[in-house]
Amino acid sequence: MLNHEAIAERIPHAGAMCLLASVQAWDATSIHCTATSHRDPANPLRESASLSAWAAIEYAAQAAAVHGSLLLEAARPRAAVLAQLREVRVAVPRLDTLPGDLTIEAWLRHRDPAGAIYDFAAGADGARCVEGRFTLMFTGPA
Amino acid sequence: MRIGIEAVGVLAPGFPDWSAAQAVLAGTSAFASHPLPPISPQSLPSAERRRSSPTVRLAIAAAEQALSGTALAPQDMALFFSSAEAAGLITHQLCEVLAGTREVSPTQFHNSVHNAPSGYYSIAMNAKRGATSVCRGPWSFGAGLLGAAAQVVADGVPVLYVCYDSPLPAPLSKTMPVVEPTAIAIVLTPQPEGAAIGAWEVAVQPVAAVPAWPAWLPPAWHANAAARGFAVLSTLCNAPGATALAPLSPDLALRITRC
Repeated sequence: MLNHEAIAERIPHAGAMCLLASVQAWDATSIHCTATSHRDPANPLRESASLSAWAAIEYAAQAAAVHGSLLLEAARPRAAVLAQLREVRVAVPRLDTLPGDLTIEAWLRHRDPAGAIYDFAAGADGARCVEGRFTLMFTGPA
Repeated sequence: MRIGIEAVGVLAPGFPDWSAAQAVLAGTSAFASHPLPPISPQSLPSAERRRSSPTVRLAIAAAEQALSGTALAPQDMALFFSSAEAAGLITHQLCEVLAGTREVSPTQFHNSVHNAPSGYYSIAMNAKRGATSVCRGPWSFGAGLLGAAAQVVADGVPVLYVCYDSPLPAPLSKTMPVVEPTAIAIVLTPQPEGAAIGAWEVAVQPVAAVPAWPAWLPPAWHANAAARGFAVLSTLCNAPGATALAPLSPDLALRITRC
């Protein structure tokens, strides 16, 4: 299990842009994280005083980045771009009004030297709010 | 990401089919432009052929060519279609009607949607494995190929990738001068070993500038997003290790290497 400080050491996102609070569990093909920053009025992804459900994609991408660094046993994941999103389903309009902690799960579907494909889901209070699949393509050296 | 290339189809003035394009793409023949004969996809029933747009007929004819090069059944492939402007002629005609009688024909309306070609194709071929239709302006070839490759490796299914541009009328052509049709269709498979034509390693790399067009390629095609695919196809006409870049943005490109 990793706390916020340990996560911040593993991904390039700094300050309030490091969104996750903890890694609860992970293995070779999955990672389970939590966040509380969705309720934070200072969340940098807020627009018009609310946090859109689409922000869950960034939460999941950061979970995948942490997963990448854990898999590599490296301090930092390889630099990557979010190259494609597919089959994104959104069940709520915003995240900041969800009272519970946010849970973010990502499941690795494919990984090779060029990139990685994850399915992801974000939810709160036992309900799944946002889910989808993304492709990360590495742009930096291994 | 490593994917197999099972079959290819191309359509453009001077490139009536894949076999005609290969000598130019290999660098052993000069490019010579010849007008394409009328494009008439055989898989569309005649009523559908009449109702469809030139964009639909272009995309499906390129797809049919690729299908003719593989034993894989169209029902076993997922579809990934990409186009920067899609049916600009239909968009133009709709705007003319909206500026006049305002009585838009339902057929014109349904031909105007971006996924009309994959829709006609999936109905004609009874292809039910799902269709994706993407648009990313001048980067549409690379963005579509990356999406198709990701689907091949994540789902383990063959994907028919089709990217196409059909000419735009004035005044659209003043800002987007697509003056000649270009279309590329590729059957991608999750089995890189043993694929009929070869295999590609697909990766993304930062670039300092948008990659140059091939010297042989007519400048008239520089507005055609699909024409970016000809450099990629040229890797299949050269020895393993041949590499090409397809731009994804002003500072990123898809790097395709023949395995």
